[in-house]
Amino acid sequence: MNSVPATTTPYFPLTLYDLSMCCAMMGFIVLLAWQGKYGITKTLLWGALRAGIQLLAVGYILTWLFSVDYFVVVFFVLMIQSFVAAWQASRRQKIKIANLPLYLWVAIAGSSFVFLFFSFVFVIHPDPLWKGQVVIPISGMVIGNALNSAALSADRLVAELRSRRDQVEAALAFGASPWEASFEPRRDALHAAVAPSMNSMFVVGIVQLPGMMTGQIIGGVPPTEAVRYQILIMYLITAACFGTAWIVERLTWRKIGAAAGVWLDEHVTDNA
Amino acid sequence: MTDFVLTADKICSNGYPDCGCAILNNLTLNLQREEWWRITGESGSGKTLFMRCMAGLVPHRGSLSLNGKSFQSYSLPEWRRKVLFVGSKPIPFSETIGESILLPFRWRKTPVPSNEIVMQILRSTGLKFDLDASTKSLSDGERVRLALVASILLHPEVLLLDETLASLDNENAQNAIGMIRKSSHDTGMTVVWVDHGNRLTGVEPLHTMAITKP
Repeated sequence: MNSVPATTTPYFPLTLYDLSMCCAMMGFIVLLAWQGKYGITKTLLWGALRAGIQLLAVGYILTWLFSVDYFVVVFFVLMIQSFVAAWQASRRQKIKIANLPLYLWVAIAGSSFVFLFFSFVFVIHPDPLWKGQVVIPISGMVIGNALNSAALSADRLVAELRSRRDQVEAALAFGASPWEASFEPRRDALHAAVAPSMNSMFVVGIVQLPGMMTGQIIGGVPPTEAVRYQILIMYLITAACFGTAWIVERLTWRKIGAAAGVWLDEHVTDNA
Repeated sequence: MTDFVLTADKICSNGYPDCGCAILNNLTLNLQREEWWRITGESGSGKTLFMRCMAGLVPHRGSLSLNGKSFQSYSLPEWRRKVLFVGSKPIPFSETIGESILLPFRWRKTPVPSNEIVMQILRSTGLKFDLDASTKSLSDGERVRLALVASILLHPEVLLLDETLASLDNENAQNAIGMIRKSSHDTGMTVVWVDHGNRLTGVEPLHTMAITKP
């Protein structure tokens, strides 16, 4: 995928003057917010300012990153992305489990990196393999979705084990292994984690054009080329979400059970 | 020297891994084959928790043994296959009656009983469903009878029943007791009941253990 698009479609760059014009939109709604005393005027202004500054800064950082293509730098960015994702995913959990951020990191990074690596080696094959221009935007999207998957699956596993603890315990009492007894909670947690990316595969291109594809099209890439990347991205995201939920389930099911009051055989001993 | 099937010696538990003695404090119970026991005690005294401890479902301190062998010498599924606990509000394991009864046999990887045997026991409890009937619309009382049928077919050595008869009317409760009595006679199964009402009146001999709050 290193070929230049055959047909040249026009590309419309934004000058800083153009950008300053789009501030008028924010100005207009800030005025409405201030006039209606909604209490969000300051937040709106601050948000708009931060978005502008953060993105302008990241533009310069990425330009530098893409120009050097140091493996160490790209690797460092991947680590930061996955650490922040694991931390965010564990922050959303209402239950206390020791080392939860670590488990979620293993799940998010393990699943994302395996599928990303596969995609870079066998699908996109950029040169070098750690080409920042390709690796960083795509890994950002994948890890962001893996974050949601990890958070959803852990959250759902807690809820299901709590609400079905009697059912799980009854299965244990009748001789099921803990893994068999917790089948339904585990299944529902996996469904919940995979549902968003799985469902988006059904409506993509009909209801909305996804952000990455839209960006490429505006950037002058022919739609027939842009959709190929989009197909890759959707498969990659769904695979990473599934993989993340699959690992979260295996690393945490007994501990989440114990925290939810279902003893999936851990701690059940006598003479404790 | 009497041979006990199950002994529970100085059992402490609060349901959590620290095994504090706030709820169950050093309870001891020795059960012989074919004995019938009734556990009484006010609400909150830990009757259910004690049963769950004996069934190997919650963390506990103290020692349990079965046929002279310690709790640790069994795997947990092995132990539970011999000491079977039925809760007060059982939920069917599957969508059909037949599957709910047969699923535990798959978990145990033991041969399933024939349809005739299943149907015969099912009928003796007054359940008039076919094996492929749905479990969705079963009432609490019907679910209880289904769970009792499933547990009897599994031939545990000790059957622990937690207020299992509470949602049955008197006639169905007597039928259920009759079915369990027969199985107890045939296989030497020991039965422990938590029973608030007087459903067990007339069962002779019946041993009683009273649990009080510590």
